[in-house]
Amino acid sequence: MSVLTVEHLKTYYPVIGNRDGDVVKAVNNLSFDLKENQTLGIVGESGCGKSTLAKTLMGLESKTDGKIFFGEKDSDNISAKERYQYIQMVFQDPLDSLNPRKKAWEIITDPLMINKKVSKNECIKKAAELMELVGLRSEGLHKYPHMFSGGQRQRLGIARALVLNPKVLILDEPVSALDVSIQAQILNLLKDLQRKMKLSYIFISHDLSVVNYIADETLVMYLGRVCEYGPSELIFGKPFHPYTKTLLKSAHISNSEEIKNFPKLLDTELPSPLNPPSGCFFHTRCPVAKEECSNFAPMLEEKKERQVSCFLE
Amino acid sequence: MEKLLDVKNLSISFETKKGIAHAVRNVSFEVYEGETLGVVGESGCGKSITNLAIMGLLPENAIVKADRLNFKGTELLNLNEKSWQEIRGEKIGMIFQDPMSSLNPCYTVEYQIDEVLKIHKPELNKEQRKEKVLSLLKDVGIPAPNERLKSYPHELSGGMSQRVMIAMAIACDPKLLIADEPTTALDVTVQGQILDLLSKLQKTKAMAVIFVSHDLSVVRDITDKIQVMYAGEVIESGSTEEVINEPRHPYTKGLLDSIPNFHKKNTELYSIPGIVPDLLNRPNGCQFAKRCFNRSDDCEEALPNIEQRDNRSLRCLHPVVTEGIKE
Repeated sequence: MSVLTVEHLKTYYPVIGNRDGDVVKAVNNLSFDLKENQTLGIVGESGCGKSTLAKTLMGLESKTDGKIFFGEKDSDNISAKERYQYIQMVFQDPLDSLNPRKKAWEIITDPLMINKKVSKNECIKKAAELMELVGLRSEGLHKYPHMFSGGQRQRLGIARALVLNPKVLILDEPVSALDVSIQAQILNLLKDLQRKMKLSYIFISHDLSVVNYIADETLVMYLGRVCEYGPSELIFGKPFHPYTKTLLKSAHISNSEEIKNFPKLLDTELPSPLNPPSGCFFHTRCPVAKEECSNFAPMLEEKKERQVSCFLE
Repeated sequence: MEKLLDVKNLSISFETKKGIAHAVRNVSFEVYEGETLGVVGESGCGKSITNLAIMGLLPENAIVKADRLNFKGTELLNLNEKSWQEIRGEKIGMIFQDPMSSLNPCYTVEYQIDEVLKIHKPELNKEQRKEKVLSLLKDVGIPAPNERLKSYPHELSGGMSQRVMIAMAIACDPKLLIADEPTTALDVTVQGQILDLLSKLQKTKAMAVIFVSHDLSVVRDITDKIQVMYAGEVIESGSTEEVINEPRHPYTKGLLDSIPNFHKKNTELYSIPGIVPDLLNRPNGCQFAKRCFNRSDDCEEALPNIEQRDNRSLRCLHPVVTEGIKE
């Protein structure tokens, strides 16, 4: 069953001070489908639109065009309160995203106070339950964020996201700010919670080994468009798109000879999203680009059991 | 090969309101010419503080003690500010983690690289310096260097800024380059390019590099020797390949096991239990004992010495016998 369906989603930002109506197409015609109890990984360089996508799904940024369905319901027809009971978000930097002047229980139950009428005592009780669920001792209920360590703060962030019993969690680089040993604890916790609560995750990260570990399906983004989208085993095991191969090569994680010997990028810099290249957006950096790539944009097609936008066969 | 840097029993502590915090304790290591030493460990393990001591950049409340802190025959411990200036930037270069916040936003790229030359190479005139700046920008792979000279840091991408930082660090052909998490703030594609650049420069300029990182996959690829730090102490060191393939210290093994393995997807990740000890109130014995899976009673009695056993230094009473984590 699909818990989140996105169809031809577009989020454009107007360029300030520009009278010609120029826009930055941060998310450009994105479609995907998230099933219950599954994890969708989203990878790509900074500036490719990962975080804009997350904000658009949360309703923090309004979409320009396209449809978002939460289960059966169209996002255009639901209230913000309904939306937040369905989808919640965990942010990258746990210290920046927790209010330093609130105690742990207040942080966790803030969404509850706003969305439902709950007494203080019930809130504290609920907060204690959640803290236990995410592996924090309930002695911490009355502590402030600065009194927790980095990993514990991220657990608080997760507890806050879970307080309304959402179906979908957006995890925007949830482990990037953490040390490897703490990172492992949080990843284990996320997997565990997913099993227990039948959650679905959208896991945004630039760390390919982490995405490969946690995601069932992976979507590779480049300048707001989809490069490759399919099951993680295929994307990481037998990548098709030259951009995916480049990412895997740079991350030094694949053992495959093909990836290790894949040619280098032609241009080291990401093109300006204000003025993206013609044709396939990747052709200016693609080491295997052909002439047609600069003239025509490839369609997203089904190739070798996944969706790819590339002219290669 | 000649010994470049010789550190023996370096200890750094800070006076705080709550007492004395021992940030680094009895750290000893050597760096030879042209070699790459990787330093790994969690945040707060003393990696950066050790490097700042080598650069003489520690804050004033730091208390530094060492038997030896020797760079190419110069004892660094009791240098005055003027002598430090001669070493810093000229003989030892440093690259910091976040290029955006390490460059001065108010000055052009040319001005900032030129400044290094102005101070350390007074014999060069204006034209010669400009030429040198241009060739440095070319060396670090900045396209169209002529046009970039007048750019301000905000006009550069993260990768470009890091290249400018590298250009500044190598401007005087230092013998030793300290790279403190140089790729952590960068995208994975850019990270690959910066690592390639560093290895290339190291070969052409015959520099030694101290490479600090928490990313073991990066350290594995570019370093010859590796040194694992925990709570301000070196707990294991040896050749990179041996340490990564056959970690002996339980902490090293724990670190390696907590990285998601590309080829083993559905296994639970190992996570090291507990937290690092309070530096103000250190335990008596092995600092890692409370979190260790291989602990026994004698671990908590006295701090184990660091011992040399077949090319490996190890601070552990009960090392792990590994079957080898090979891929």
